[in-house]
Amino acid sequence: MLTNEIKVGLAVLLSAVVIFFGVRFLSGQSLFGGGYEVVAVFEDAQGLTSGAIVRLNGVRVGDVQEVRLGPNAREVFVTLGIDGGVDIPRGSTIQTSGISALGEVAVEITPPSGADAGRPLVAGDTLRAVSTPDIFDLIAGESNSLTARADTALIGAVNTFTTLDEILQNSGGDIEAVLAQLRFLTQATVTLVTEEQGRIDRTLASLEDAAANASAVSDRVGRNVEDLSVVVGNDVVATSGTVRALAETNADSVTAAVNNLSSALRRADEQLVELRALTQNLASLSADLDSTLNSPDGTLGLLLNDPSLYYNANAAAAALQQILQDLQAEPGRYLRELDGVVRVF
Amino acid sequence: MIQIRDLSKSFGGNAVLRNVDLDVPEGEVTCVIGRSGSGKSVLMRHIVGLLEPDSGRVIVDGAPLDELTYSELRQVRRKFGVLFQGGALFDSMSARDNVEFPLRTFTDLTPNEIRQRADECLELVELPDAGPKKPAELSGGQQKRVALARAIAIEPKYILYDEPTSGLDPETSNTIDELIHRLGTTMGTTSVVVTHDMHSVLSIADRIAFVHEGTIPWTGTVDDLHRAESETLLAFVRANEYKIGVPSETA
Amino acid sequence: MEVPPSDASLAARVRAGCAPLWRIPGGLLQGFGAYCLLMAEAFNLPRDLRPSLYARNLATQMVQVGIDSIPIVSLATAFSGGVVVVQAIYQLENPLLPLSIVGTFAEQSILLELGTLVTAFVLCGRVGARIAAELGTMRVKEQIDALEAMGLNSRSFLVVPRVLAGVLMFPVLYVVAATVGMVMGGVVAELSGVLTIQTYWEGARLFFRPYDVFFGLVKSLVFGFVITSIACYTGYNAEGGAEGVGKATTRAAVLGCVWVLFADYACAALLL
Repeated sequence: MLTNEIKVGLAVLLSAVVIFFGVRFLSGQSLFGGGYEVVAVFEDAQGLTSGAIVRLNGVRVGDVQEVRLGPNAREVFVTLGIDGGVDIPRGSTIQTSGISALGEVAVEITPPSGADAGRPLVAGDTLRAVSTPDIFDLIAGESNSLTARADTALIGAVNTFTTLDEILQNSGGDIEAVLAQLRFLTQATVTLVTEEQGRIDRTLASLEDAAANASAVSDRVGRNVEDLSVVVGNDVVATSGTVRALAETNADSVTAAVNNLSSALRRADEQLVELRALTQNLASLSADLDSTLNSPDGTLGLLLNDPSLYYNANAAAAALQQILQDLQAEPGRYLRELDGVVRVF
Repeated sequence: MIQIRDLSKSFGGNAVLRNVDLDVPEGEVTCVIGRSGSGKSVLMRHIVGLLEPDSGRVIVDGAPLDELTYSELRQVRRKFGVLFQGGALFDSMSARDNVEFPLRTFTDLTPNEIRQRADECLELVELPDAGPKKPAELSGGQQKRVALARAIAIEPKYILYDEPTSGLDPETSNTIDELIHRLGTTMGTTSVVVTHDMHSVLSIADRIAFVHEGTIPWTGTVDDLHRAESETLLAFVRANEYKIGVPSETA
Repeated sequence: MEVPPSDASLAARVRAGCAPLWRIPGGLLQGFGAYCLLMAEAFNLPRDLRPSLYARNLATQMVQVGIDSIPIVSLATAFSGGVVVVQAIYQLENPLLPLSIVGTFAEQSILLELGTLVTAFVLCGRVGARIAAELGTMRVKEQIDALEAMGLNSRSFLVVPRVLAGVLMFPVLYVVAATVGMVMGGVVAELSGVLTIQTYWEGARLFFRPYDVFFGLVKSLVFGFVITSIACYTGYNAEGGAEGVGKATTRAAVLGCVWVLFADYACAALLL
């Protein structure tokens, strides 16, 4: 029979049981034990709180039990309650995911790649976490690598100019003579060149053909001199005259080539200036990002919604690098044109 | 021995009792008579300390109630059994539980003895079968009798009756009167009966106190009653005589 | 009639004029003082009390206050849990917020506030009114006088088991309320089609602190005391027959609700 005493006792006992299991359930402990705890050491907990979800390959396997700072606040010790029956392979990487600003930071565990995972973790084991920046840190990190890329571009530029310088130095008197000649020719035709700007491209294209022709003619001339030195002497003179005339005619193109080279150099110079400005911009961008991240009323959303900023910076750096890479890969591209000229004389 | 000395009580400026003196001798039945609203019930409540007098005092067995602490007062009250006008049975308990309640609360009797004593008391009030019933299932008269059974259960030294026979049929009234009389004579119980039923008074009273407009102008025995000259008393008695026919000569 | 001397008339008139101003605060203070005295006297337990008798009484009261209230408390909190979730879905459905926030919202409101307050309001009616009516009837039918006349300490005898039953059983009812409310919230969440019950529980667990439950238990204990003791006070001091009992009952329910709100605020201010 249910006496009052029995009813009351039953009710109180039952509610004590409900409190016990309810609190265990809601605080994320497994209801009937069997789970175990491992400790993860983070450099930055990214706003992780107790009760946050622990996922293994994206599957929920437990909850964060406790988050506390280590000695000297160097590290964060995060106690993870892992459900019973879940094995976490040794060597798994562990990291936070999610955005603390939106209230959902979770712990992600990824098993090591490769079949041999080793024996699973047991209670009390400690994992060292891979420090993953959250999305804002990712943006900031991206801007850093942007700066790094601009740096390599600069180094590339320096290399290019060094190579260019070496080439010019090594060619010694020839080049100097050519350059002297060129200076003369330039002076002689400077007006013409400026006036004939429209024809430059076409002339440039025919330059190599002309040089090749000249070379072939010279060869033929050599053979003819051996065979018919006297007979064809006049011819040779005439041919030389033709060649000279040809060279004279093509002086425009040579000048254009030199002009091209100098404008290329000028462009590289301009790019360097731009590069410097860009680097400064990037530096200030990084600073902006930093302050935005640190400021409580930061316009994070704005930054998030404005990827063009990032892409512009990236594209600029990439374009610059392309130019400099071209220069580095073929430093003698314009010298080849000069070579043709040299061989004419 | 209950002594009431110079007791006055008023409610909201309306004096109900004025300088009342009364002695209740032990082993006797004292009837307090008077018209409705004359202050009889208020007087009775003072005897057990349910009301505190404005002035004057009540002395029970030499102990002035106004000087006692609450727990001492409760000790004194345990000498009393009180039958309230409406019975004042506890609604939540059966009739038997009501009768057993003081036994369980104040005595060290075994459950068996308690049951026996409760049966006895219900037998005395001629309600042997009322035990399992709830007060609401009993008539007003039956409730009053169960309440009487409860009042006498612990065999108190004093029993106070507030209108014990009002609302009862004459036969049951006689039974109650006999019971009150018997308790007085056989067990030495001192009784104070507040009533306006002169028929009861004449059959049970050893002493009579007449309350009129907050005072006690007359006290005496039944015999004294017939020699009394007080106009107000005689008017009260005659009103009853008219109702019950001839006055009884045998007390 | 005597005519008051003229020089005293000013003071008398001032006093008479002030009397209505004093009546309400004076009455409140009077009532509060009487309430405190009743509690003090009731809990100044008589040394000669019989534990067995009180225990039986207590058990009866605990059943009446606690066990018998489980159905109505369950009903009330089931609905409030459901309503919380429906409103949370309505207010918090936002692509920027995770759906599990509904569970978080429900957990916070039910465990901290609704579980105790809805229970308390329901019990103001069910328990408070019942106690007041019972004691009021005992008072007007002289049953309290009968207890006193027997030599019992009627305050202790009547008040202590009821108040103790409230203090002991309200936490139990809170557990019932919180459980039913949370589960019903989950069911409503599932039925809504917006989120699953798993997401709901995930959200509920995310910001759960065991202190919430402790706070709820303490609060329900306080409410249990407030409701039952006020009902005992109004009932014990009822006067004037059936009308007086009615008045005492109404007062128990109204005063109980008001003081529960005060106590709720006090608990939040002191314990959170």
